[in-house]
Amino acid sequence: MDVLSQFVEYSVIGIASGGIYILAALGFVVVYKASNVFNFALGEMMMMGAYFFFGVVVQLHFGTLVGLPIALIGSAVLAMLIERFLLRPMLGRPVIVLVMITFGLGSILRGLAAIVWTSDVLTIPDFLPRQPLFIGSILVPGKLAWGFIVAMVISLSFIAYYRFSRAGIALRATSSDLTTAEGLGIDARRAFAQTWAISGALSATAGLILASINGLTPQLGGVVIDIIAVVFLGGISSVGGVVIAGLFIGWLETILGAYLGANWQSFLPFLVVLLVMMFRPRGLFGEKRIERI
Amino acid sequence: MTNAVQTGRPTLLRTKRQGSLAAAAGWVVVAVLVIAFPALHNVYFLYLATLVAINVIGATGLNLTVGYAGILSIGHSAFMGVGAYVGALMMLYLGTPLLLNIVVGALAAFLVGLVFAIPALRIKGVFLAVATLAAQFMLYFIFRQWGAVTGGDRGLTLPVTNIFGLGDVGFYYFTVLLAALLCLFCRNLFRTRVGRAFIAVRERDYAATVLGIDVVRTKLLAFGLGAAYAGVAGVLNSMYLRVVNPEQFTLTVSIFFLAAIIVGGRASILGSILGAAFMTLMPEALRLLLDAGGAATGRDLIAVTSPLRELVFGVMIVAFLMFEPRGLMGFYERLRGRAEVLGAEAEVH
Amino acid sequence: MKWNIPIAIAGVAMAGALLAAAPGIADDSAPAAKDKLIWSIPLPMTGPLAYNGNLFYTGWKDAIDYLNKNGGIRGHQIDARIYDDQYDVNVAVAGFKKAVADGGVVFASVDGTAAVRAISPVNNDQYKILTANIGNTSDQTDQTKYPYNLLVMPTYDDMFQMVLKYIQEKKPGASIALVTSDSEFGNDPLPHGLQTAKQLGLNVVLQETTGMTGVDVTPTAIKLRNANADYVIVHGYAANVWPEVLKLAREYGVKSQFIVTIVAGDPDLIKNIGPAADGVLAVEPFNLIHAGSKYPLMQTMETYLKNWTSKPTPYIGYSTLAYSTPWAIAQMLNQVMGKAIDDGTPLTGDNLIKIAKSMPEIDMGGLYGDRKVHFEDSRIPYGIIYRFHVTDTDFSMTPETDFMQVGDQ
Repeated sequence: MDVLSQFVEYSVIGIASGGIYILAALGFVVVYKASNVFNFALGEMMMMGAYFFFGVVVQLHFGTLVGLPIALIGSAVLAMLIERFLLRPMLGRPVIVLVMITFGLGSILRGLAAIVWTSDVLTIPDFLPRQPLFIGSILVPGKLAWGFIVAMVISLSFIAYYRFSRAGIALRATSSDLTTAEGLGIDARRAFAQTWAISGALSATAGLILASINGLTPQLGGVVIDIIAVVFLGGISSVGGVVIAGLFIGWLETILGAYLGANWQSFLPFLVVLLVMMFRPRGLFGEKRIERI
Repeated sequence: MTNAVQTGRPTLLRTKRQGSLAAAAGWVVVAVLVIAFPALHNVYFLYLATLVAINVIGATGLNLTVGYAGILSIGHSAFMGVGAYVGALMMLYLGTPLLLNIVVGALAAFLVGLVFAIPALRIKGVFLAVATLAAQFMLYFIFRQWGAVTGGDRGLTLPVTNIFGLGDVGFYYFTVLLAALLCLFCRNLFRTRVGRAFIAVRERDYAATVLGIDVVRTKLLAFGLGAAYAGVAGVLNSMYLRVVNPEQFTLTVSIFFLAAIIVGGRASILGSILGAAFMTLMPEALRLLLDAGGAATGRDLIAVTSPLRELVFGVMIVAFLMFEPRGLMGFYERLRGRAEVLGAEAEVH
Repeated sequence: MKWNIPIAIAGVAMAGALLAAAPGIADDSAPAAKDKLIWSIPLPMTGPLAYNGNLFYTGWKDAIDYLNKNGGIRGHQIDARIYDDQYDVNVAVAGFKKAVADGGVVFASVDGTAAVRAISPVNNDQYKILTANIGNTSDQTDQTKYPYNLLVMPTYDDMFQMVLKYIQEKKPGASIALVTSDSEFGNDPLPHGLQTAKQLGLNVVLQETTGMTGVDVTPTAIKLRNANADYVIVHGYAANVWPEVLKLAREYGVKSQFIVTIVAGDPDLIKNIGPAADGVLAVEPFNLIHAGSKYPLMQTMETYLKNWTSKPTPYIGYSTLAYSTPWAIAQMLNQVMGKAIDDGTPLTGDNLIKIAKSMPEIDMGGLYGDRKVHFEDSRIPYGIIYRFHVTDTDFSMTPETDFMQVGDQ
């Protein structure tokens, strides 16, 4: 295979892998857009989603078709509980408080998972078909291809929902001006709860994919660090931006891994983030509204 | 939200007026205890005490940046690493004395801190947090990958540092003394214009500018100083353990320090001390508790209860933030019946 | 009464010191303490290596229970002080210092590489207690740096040596792809391994590093397809990343023989991977096959394994490295300390290490099969390669080689 077609193959794979980044990154963005909370415990929420799936499918011997919706619903409910009892009382508190709450929450979830499921590595059954797809002569592994399709469907429908539905408009209103939105009769609390539920379900989906690659342990959430770069490159306030950034970072990580070696994968995305923070903090596509000096 | 510059001042005066004699007596007792501590002849206690002193320095530094100046940093341990490696390399290759290593280590951490403080000039809040997270991962990457200098994953092993010819006891005295001096420096800093500028910047950037405070310089200084404290803690840690290794400077360690200042009390030096002590000693206390519980029930509790530590850690952070945002300092001041003063005090950003 | 910060601190400190000092003082004066052998055992129950914590813990608990029920070591019961060190150097050193402060400790297990580096300098100079690491990093054989440390297993370098020798015998001049994790474990045997491959006339056609965790590992599979090597050596992983690499590689039509090292060859894990793992080889220090074993110790371990109810996956006839390691250490200590007691020498690090290294044969009770093993440069450089047979419904593992000694195959 010549150099160019090899590059094309890596690029296709990389862009496809962006789907997984997008799924996870959207979990951050929807919550941030509504309530200005950056959820550092999102990785742990992914991990819990994967454990729910494991519990239903492996421990209780239900099929994947039962396990998947239960994992998604379970994660959504968990996210709503977190919002209701941990984050809502803290609304309006300084950023450091909110950030540390989510770090504390991450620790709580890790401890809970270790108590319930032990710290041993568990293997979860594949829930996406492994049958590869072909783009021309390029083989795209099933997990990647389906991950990409799922991510695209979810993010496009989310963008549509957000733009055009009543609930979506309410969400946008609360995120741009809470007081006015409430004055207009929008139920901000319901809107927050909704975004957390969506975020929970999204993170469960991402968690299932990540658990099948990294093994399921209470430490699974650490993988989310790789995803934070995507979020901030795209702009934390932009769903569309995160989709594009997800594809870009997926591509970048694959190319880096292919030509420079994996150790650079932990360095360059953060260099990109640092440069973005220095020169264009709202991200490449983010809204201008940002906490500046 | 009131301005802490205004409320902070009278508070200090009140403390001074009230029972300054009792306070002095108390400090004498503390000093005597600290000096007499090695007489227990227990290497374990001595080790923990030294570790607490080192972590007090680290936590005070982070409190300077986060608590006083309101700049959220999730990359504190990386600056510790900078100090640790610089100190260790000087010791190994130049054979320079400890004090010089500490000064240069702090300076190096200060300068590296400045580089990563640049985003702080334009952004704050969670954006800044993520920029410092980038510092955490990029520096950790350098520690691991620059093998020729840092020893890579294996790190560096150091010869023994013998202070006053007293071995571990000497190191203990030295570290405690240094921690005390650095805490004092920090305390006095907030009685100067520079230190109060930190708080002003935290409260209101714009207002600070109007008051004639150079916001850019203040922020850089607050971040750099915090990093320098971390650097000192890093040098001490490496000299004491005689090993420097990338695994000592991970995100977990940075969160450990953030937790310490939340548990202890933000924007408070005593809070930093209490928090660092609490966080350092908690795993040991839990272990003693488990040992005792195991002995009492005749059962080994460790397998069941180890994940509890993580749970407790998280619950503690969340509980303090929700119910006692001023941390152990809040408890303490409430005990002294000063809740009203506190209620008026501004929440830290 | 007004409270005062310094007085409060002083009071708490004093109370704390008294409380904490009390048991220590009691220990020193109690004559009964003499009868027990105190072992200090830190384990990664939480933190990044927690996935191994339970396995090690259960291994220690069972191994010591077995020793104690059979009269301890020459009548001395073992008092094991097991604690969670979070795989954190500071906590690990704290635990070590606690052990020496409490007094009477004759053995300290060490939880991994960073910990052995932190504990050794102070142990070498002051405490001189016998230690045994549960991690396999290769520089441990440096006896000037780690004079009191033993490893009852081969190092990573040793295991690479065994694997490369095996390949060279099977197919001289074979092409090899190396897939390692970007971690201390992954990097450890690379320099030595590459050099050995060259010496043995093996052709390393790909040297690939992946992250310890990953969002997508397809590029690695593509590289394996392009490399089309005879053998793929996978090192530095547990259950993370490599099973997906294997599955993807098979989907890309890669036919290479996969060989994994130690923790990655956990039978429970391989069984879960399914048919993609059929035919995979794993290099392991110990005999992991308990079902139908002829060795009494292996049978005893099987009884314990069968009674291990809290394990998430049921016993399938095989052990794992992390469970067997404590048994091996306990087995070794039983003989070394037993001999010291017989000889009437105190159980100091100097005496024990001398005895351990001079024993011509250490009876490992079948953990090394029929092989007579002994320490060389403070480690036991023997191992075995297993082959896994996996179908959708069936799982088994068989020895691919006999127990080998490094450099002596």
